[in-house]
Amino acid sequence: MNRLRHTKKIVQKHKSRGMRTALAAAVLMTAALSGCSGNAEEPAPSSPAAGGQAGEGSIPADKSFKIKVMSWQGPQEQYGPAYNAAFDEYMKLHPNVKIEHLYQPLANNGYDKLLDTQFVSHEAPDAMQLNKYSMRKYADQDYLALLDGPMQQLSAYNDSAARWVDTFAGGEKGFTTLKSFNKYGAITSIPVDGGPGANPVQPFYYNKDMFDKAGIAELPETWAELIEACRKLEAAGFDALAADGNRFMQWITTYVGNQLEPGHVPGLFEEKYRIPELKGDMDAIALLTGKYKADNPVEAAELAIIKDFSQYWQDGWAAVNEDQAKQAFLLGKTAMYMSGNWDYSYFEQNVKGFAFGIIPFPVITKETTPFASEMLPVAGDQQSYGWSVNKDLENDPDKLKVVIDLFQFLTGKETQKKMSDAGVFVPVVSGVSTPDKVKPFIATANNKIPTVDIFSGPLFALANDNKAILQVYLTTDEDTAGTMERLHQQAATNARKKASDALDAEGGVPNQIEILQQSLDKQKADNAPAAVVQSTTDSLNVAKLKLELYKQYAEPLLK
Amino acid sequence: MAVQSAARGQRKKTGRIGRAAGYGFVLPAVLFTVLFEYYPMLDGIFHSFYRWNGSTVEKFVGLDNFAEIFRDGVFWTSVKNMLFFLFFQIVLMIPTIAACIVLFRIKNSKMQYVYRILLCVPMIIPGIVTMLLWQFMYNPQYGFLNQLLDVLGLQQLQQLWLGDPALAKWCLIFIGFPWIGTIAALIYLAGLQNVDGSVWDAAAIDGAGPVKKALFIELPLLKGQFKLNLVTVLAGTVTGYGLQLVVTNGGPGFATLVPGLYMYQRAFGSGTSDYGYASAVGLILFVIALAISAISIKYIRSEE
Amino acid sequence: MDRIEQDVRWGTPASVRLRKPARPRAWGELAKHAFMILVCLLLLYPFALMLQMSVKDTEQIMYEFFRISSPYHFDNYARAWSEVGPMIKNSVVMAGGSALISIFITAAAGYGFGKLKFPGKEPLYWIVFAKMMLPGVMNLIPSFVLAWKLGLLNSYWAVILFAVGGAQPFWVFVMRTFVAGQPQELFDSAKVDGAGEARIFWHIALPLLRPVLSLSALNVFLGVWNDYIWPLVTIQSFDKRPITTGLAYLSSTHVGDYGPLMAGYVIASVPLFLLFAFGMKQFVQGLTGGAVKL
Repeated sequence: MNRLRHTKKIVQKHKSRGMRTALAAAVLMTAALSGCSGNAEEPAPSSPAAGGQAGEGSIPADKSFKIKVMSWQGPQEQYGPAYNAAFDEYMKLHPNVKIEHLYQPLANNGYDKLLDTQFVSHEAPDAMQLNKYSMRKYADQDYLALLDGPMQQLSAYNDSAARWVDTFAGGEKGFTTLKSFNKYGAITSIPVDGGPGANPVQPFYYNKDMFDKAGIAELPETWAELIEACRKLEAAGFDALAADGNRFMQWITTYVGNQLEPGHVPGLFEEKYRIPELKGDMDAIALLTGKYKADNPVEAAELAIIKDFSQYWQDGWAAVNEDQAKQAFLLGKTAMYMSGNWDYSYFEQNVKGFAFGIIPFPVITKETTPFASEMLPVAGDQQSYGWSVNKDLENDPDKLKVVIDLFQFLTGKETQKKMSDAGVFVPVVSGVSTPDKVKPFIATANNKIPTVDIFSGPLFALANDNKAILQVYLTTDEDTAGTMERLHQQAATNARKKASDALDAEGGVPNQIEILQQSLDKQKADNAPAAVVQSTTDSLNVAKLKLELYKQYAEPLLK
Repeated sequence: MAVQSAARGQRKKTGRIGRAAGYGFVLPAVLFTVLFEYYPMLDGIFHSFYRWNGSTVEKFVGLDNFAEIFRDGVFWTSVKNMLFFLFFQIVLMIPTIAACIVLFRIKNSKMQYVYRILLCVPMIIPGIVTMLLWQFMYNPQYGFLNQLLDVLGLQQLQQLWLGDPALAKWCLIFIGFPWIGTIAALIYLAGLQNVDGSVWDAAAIDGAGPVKKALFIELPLLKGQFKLNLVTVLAGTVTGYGLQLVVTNGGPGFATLVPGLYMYQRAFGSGTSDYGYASAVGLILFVIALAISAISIKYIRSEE
Repeated sequence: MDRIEQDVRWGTPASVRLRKPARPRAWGELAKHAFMILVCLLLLYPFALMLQMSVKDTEQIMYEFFRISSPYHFDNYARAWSEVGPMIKNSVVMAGGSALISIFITAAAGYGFGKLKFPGKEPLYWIVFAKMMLPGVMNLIPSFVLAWKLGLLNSYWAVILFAVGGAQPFWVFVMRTFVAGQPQELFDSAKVDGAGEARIFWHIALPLLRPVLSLSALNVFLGVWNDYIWPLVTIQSFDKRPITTGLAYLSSTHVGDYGPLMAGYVIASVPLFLLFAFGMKQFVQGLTGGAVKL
């Protein structure tokens, strides 16, 4: 036992060293990259791409590079080929770079599990597509490179004098959510395709023939109309919707919750804490302090809306996965299926025997619940997923340069235009027109709430078995109060853990503050570009406010 | 004198070589056991007193994990499910015994041999295939069961099977129908063969009926084999979760969740890596399994 | 424990058969056959379904579930083979490697513990032996962490080394018992000839152990072959996956492609079928060897 404890100590030591290197690396990266492009404050005449012409980037030309990138975009789907074409083009531009695009489907949690093992064994790809939850997990475990440095520089593939981060739709503000999702408050993710990320509500694909047979003349625009349509479909003998027990659970709670009482949780706290970066922390503290109770009426309303909807889902939905649900729609067994634009080409090619169309997610009105805000989130105002870069690359600055250059290429206007047309997605950079096919997915007159302001159900968000608990609620006669009690039990336990982790001197917020402070000092000493210093200062201030929040509310309760 | 001491020297030398060789032979086995068996076991016990996520968070929390487990409704649900499975797994040992007795009584030895081989066939199919196959058979839209009911005109009996929380547990029990375990069967058959032939003669003279004969002759003879299989079933059901992991992942809801799977999910589920908590669940299962192992050793030995 | 292993036999010994009571009523015999036939049918029909679905396309499976009619889609097998073939290779390498390494290590230990004398032998033996009584349920997570620290994740070695470790307690126990039961003279005469321990082990102990070796090799092989959870957490690259996790993965990504999936299941069953066909007796003993493990 003693020996074990000793080993622990050594591991611990290594760990804190790891934390410290994080900041050093962030600085290093800035330095390394400033070689290839100037900085925002003083765009030197030779910048974008010193020596080369704009649109070609500048990477070490005398060395050859082999870059591995991984995504869940398979070659059969529409995004995969769009990416592959862009990679091919990049390789043509830079014959000394070889890009290998690995494909790993998300199904059965396979993508995350693969990365889990690859990261710990340091065999992970150089860059990988991540959603914000996985991004948080890996960033917090120090597996991802912090990208603020390069983001504050000019992009080699953009002719304007804007910093890379400003070329994205929504600019630096568009990264607020992503930044709040890791302990450093840093950008750790480069958006390339505006899939589910640019689009905070997924629409329904629907079977036009079934809608006709059921006598639905007009497509539903409000939630009440959607339920009415479901009733008609059911009366005509059709299952209205193909649901699944996993991904759909996540979506439906998010998209219904999005529309209810914005600012609901922040309203429980003083003005100064009400910033988007602290949303998750306010959720936890609201639960811990009992400000947010197990019988919260807004979350109860959310659950009741979903339960009412669930009677129109296909039989046995709780036991199927998203692919099986998709099959049910494809084979004409259900009238609707919720999915994003990334399935568009698949349905175009594979739907046989009926015509399909798209219904944007309906707006919930006061007719359905008094808590309805009667607004949908603004499409694409927040980046919410993208590609992260393996931290191990920091040991190979040349290769890192190439990877960054590749992503600057992918987010250049020209490439974005080609990719979004081929992949049918929303371009992530501003100044590129959205393909017509994707418009029905994003544009409704009701998209009005800024994404950072939307309501999240803290009970659902913090309970680790949330999907299973929801399944029980929807498939048995368990009532809303009992379900919320169950969610609350788990969520409160997790909130307590989260608070105690945050206050932990070694791995918590105090440690982050220390790291950020050191990072800032170093940046100042090294005369880093003002924008970089500013972004570190911002992160530091958020971290300080976070600590204050936890100290004020959580600390007294944990003692 | 000189010869003697030389001989002694020789003996000493071979003794030393023998000794070194002895270690050479056994050390690999000892090292493998210690490194890949004991170390993980002790490490697991150790970490069940930690809040630990495998990387950045590692904090001693004493008995907090256990306290949390006791308050954790999901854990108790999984224990209830485990007891359900345990009960039926024990009851469902009967078909195998019955089949073995019938098989053993068949006089045509060629046919007996053929049946034995047929009973072994499921073992050449990888277990995973059987599970996936059954998962398909339960599919409500195009699975075998609902298609069969359709053909028989019994549409009103069609079910959601695995999609119905009330039915999912029963569906898992039904996997493996008609519940003939190949290994258990082989063990029972070996037991029956081992019996002194004179008991059969005595039975024949008595003119006992087939059921009576089974109850009073064959079953008592199979007691040792039964105990052996029982222990396998007990330990397998308490700690096992492969079936649930593959076929239902514990769902719908928590309908088929068992403690082993809960341990797995808390450690490797999406978005969580609560290794400390999972280790604590593991330690509880470990203690139960250890008790079963201890009791079984005593219980099996006591009668042999 | 030994008793059970040795008594699983094919065919009934003649002595037992003769003494079975003569039952004049033929219908009683008939009933027994009917019962056994029913049991076998129920036991085997899922696999028959699997076979018949493996040559159908999705439409045929959905709309003509119980009929099998042309066109037969044998191309399902070609499609399945391209995916399942590499998995079979992986499974064979991992299961075969584990079996091979573990028999050498356990046999050596069995010989060392059974016939050699050296200080500390008994305590060392007890360390190995005692693990047999300790359940392994909580090993999963720490083993995973250990595999990672040793840099084994995503390689065959993660499976092989842990399988070898898991095989030690029981099979060292069996080998030691077996070696200790062999007459001492065999070993002594070789020693007189001046043979070293290594040669004695190789030329005398191993040949003597042959029946136990094949039993143990098969048992370890089957254990790895059917293992799902351990490779699931340690082997994630697609090109290294064994059949267990590979098939589960295919079934979740090729939804609706039932024909090729079933063909894949059939293909994955072939290696054990071959093993069964060529070494029936050993195969069955290997199975029960595992059952006795408890």
